Amino acid sequence: MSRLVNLAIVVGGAALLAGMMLTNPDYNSVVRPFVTKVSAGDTGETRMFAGRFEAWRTADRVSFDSLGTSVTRDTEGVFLIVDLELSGTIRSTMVDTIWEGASKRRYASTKRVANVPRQVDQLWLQPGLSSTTFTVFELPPDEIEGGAAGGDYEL
Amino acid sequence: MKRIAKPLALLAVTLLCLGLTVLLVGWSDIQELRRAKNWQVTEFPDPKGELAGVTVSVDQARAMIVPGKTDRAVVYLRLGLSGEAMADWGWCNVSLTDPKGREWFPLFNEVGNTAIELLGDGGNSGQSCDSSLRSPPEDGGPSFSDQAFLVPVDMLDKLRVELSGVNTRPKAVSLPFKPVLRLPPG
Repeated sequence: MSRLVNLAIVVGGAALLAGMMLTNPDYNSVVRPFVTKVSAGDTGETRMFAGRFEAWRTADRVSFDSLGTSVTRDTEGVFLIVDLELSGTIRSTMVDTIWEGASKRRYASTKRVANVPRQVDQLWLQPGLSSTTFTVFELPPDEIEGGAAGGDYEL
Repeated sequence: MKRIAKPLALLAVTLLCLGLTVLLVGWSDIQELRRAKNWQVTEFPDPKGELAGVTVSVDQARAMIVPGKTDRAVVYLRLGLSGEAMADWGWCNVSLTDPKGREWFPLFNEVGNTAIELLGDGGNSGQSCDSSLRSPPEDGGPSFSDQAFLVPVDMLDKLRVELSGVNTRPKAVSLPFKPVLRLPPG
């Protein structure tokens, strides 16, 4: 009887440890963002900020002033410009954006359009204050319909 | 009874070992979590307090409503730190907090620099809280630093400034302040 109890304890312990090992989240799972998906015109809230997807438009070429210089960018795909209204909730936060295309591929905002006033990477969101901003993606044209914008934060 | 006692003892030892393993593996994470946030905040009734051998004070507090955006204001604070133990703080963490636990960090951009220039009255120390820890005046007086924040206007009379150092956390100090409202230039 006591052997059976001892065996049960060992088996139970092994099962417990195996369960812990199997369910231990890897590094990527720990640091990945908690995603809130928002359709165009809707508002969403995450732990650190709230956002409204105001509008979007596309362009084959974009021109902008950056640090006092006029810059023009062309693309082999299409530029997608997304207008957002963002506000901080609990803590001052900087925000980065991604576009999840129709194929579920995730696109970071383009670094070819940078240092433009009101662009999302210039924002320093503050609790209780909202800001209108925009972000620009460079994508294949077929990734726009059915896609969604997402926000990620950094401190 | 005796036959049951031994397996129970083994079970207890197993659980103890499990607990020790979790503690050992998670020790660095527990320490990191402990130092990641101001868990023990001492609230002082006046704009002067003490933390880990360093006297902290709000020397100047001014605010200005942002022209064209009347829902927000920039707040300028000149903080003074003094004491032998300043170097022991490590890095400095400054934020404004409200009764709901929301937290505003200093502006490290052009808006912040402009706010410090406009509201500092030319008496700016030209240094952040971190650099003020490392350059105490030789006369033993307070080492000053300047910081600017962007906050909602309706929060101006409800904010406190919270300070801690990497090596003081989880302990932090919280001081009240009443900013003097200034008109925008022009």
